[in-house]
Amino acid sequence: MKGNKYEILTNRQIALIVLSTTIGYGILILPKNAAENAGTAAWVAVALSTIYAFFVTYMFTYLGHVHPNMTMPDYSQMLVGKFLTFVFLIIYALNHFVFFTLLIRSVSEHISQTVLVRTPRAVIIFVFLLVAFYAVSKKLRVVALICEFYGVSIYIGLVIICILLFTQGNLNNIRPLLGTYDIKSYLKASLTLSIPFSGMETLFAVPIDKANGKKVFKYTSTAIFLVGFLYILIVESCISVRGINMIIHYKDALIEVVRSVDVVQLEFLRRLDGLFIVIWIMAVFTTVVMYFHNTVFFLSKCFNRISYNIIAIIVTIASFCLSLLPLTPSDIEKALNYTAYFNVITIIFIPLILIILTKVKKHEKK
Amino acid sequence: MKKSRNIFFRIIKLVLIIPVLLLSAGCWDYQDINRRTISIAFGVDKVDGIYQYSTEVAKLTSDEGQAQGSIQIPKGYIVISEGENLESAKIDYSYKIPLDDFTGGVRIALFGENFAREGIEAYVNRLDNIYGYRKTTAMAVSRETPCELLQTKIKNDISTGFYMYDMIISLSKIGHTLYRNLGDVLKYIAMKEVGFLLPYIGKEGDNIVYLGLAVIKNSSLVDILEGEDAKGVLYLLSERKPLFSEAIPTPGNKNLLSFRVYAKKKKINTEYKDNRVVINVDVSLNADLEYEYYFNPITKKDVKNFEHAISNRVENMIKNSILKSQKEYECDIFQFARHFQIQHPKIYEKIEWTKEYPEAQINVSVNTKINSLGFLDPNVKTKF
Repeated sequence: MKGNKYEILTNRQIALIVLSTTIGYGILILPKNAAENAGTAAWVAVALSTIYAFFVTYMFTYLGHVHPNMTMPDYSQMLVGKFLTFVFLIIYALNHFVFFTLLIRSVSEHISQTVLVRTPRAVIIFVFLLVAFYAVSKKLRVVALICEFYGVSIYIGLVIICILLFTQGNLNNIRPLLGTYDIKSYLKASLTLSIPFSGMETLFAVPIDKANGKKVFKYTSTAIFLVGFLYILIVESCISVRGINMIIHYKDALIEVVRSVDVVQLEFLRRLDGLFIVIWIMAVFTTVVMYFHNTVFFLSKCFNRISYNIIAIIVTIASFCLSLLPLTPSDIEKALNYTAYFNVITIIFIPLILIILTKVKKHEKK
Repeated sequence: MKKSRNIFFRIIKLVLIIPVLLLSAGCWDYQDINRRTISIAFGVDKVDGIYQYSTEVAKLTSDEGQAQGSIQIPKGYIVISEGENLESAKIDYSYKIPLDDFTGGVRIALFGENFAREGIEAYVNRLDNIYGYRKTTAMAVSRETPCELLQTKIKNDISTGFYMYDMIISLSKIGHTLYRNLGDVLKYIAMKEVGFLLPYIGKEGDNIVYLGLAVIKNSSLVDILEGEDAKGVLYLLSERKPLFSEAIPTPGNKNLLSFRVYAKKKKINTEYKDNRVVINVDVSLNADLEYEYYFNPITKKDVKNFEHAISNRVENMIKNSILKSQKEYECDIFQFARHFQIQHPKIYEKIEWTKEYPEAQINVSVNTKINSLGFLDPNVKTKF
């Protein structure tokens, strides 16, 4: 195809895109979801989910790798033709659009309940979207740079918070480490973690160059395993502080736990919530920016005649209007769960089709 | 030329953006600290069938007539509000304070004895769901009404609330009481099958004093543990090494030796034998000689005897308090349930702990090691 059409990212940037897109809103609900079904063996469920996530990430990286310097719209057109590609793109754009709008909405809900009590929700959403729009309008390279810088800070920040939580916890709370050895419950719990672990599908808009080589697999899988490790830390530290019976009551368990400790040794930083909320908003921001970028990118591929920036503006306005719908928090939760079910198509079904067709094409050539 | 224009535009952009950012920081949520009512401590009680809230509020402005330029120490004042239920008492409170309520600074929550006997669960759940309260708010039961306690004039701390909080923290550091906060209490209530203990404080003369431990079963107060019984509990439960002085008599009661005793290790093993819960509690104590009442030689044999005597004494204390919890309260205030659940998760799911616990066989063994006899030499040869 045409020469250097896309800006090429380094392996590190690709890995950090996966990492920072995956870590986001999900870390709040992670401890409850894992603990509710698997009890003190919650970490086993998280580990299992990490393995699923690893396979899925491998699929996406593979598709990028065998089609060097191409994104999903390009190679999908080669494999399944124009019409199906159009359908795929619309599905992805819609899914991503709904997902990031819901994220912004629920984040604004949390912010207005915790830090900015009197600020109207519309203002929070507007500011969030405006900043995200600015990042997205600068295209993939800037988004990748944000992910690179934020990803590292988020990761280190969260690990430090988890360690501080552990110092306030009690080892007895996380025992017995393997729960009641009920393997069914582990599997069931691991399936409820699809929201915290989704994010690798954004790789469809990230071109992987020949220069990235085979090393890109190492980088993306390391990113997913790092995420898994962090999630285990989060779940275990939460349980160690508050115990299994308490964690399952809270939908936003992580914020509850962070607010319930007082690390006396840190003097003026003894209350961790300020630090945590900043890091968490950064984490959600990277997720939102990446999904936002993908929505705009896919739509601009669908409608070649309209320029990228105009689509970005339209998406911003649409997202703002959608996020102002009078939904209750439970409605939003339901909607998030539905998008999670829908992920079966976007994360597993469509990439599988593409991989099979790639294999078939390769075979034909031989 | 073009370059200098670019820089010019950048500077203009910066000049425009920075004031907007600085000015918009306080659009909605900005509120100055002295426009808030900062509560430090509060208590609830039921007096003649009416719920009574007493809140100690930080006073940030100086009294009239105070000499200008003198150092200003924020002191507290008390707001008392009443109502037929908790909600109306809270509404009454908000009518009595002039500014917005800020609850993030509350150090301690007190429960009056009447209120605690009725049950604290509903109130604790209320605190859990009000965002402002920290989960680290200390909790205690007070013998007098919280209103009376909070009105005590404290000489050596900024406010009464701070004083009580500091007292509990410093006592729990040396193992003489248990610091239990909102989060802990919620955790115990969530476990359902266990009871728990809260510090019990009261007023004696002009002073606020620590009195013992309040036993909470099914989230209501059932009894107060004092003296030796409380000590037995603390040897088992205190997270810090509990430290007590024990005076041990020599044979024939001729002399007394005072030892500093602390629990070094606590091991709790559980079993399920013949449809009965068996709990083995092993405590290893360390002891250091503080002083002898009268200076006498100590032989190696004496040391062994003293070790034995200390073990016996502490063992009896622990046994008595466990027996009390089994027979009198019929409630697992030591949270043995958690240990059993960890060690036998499957059996725990089948049995009903509240019925099993009073019948459980609990074996206590205490071992003491005397580490040091101090720097005085008791075996010195007095020739001259």
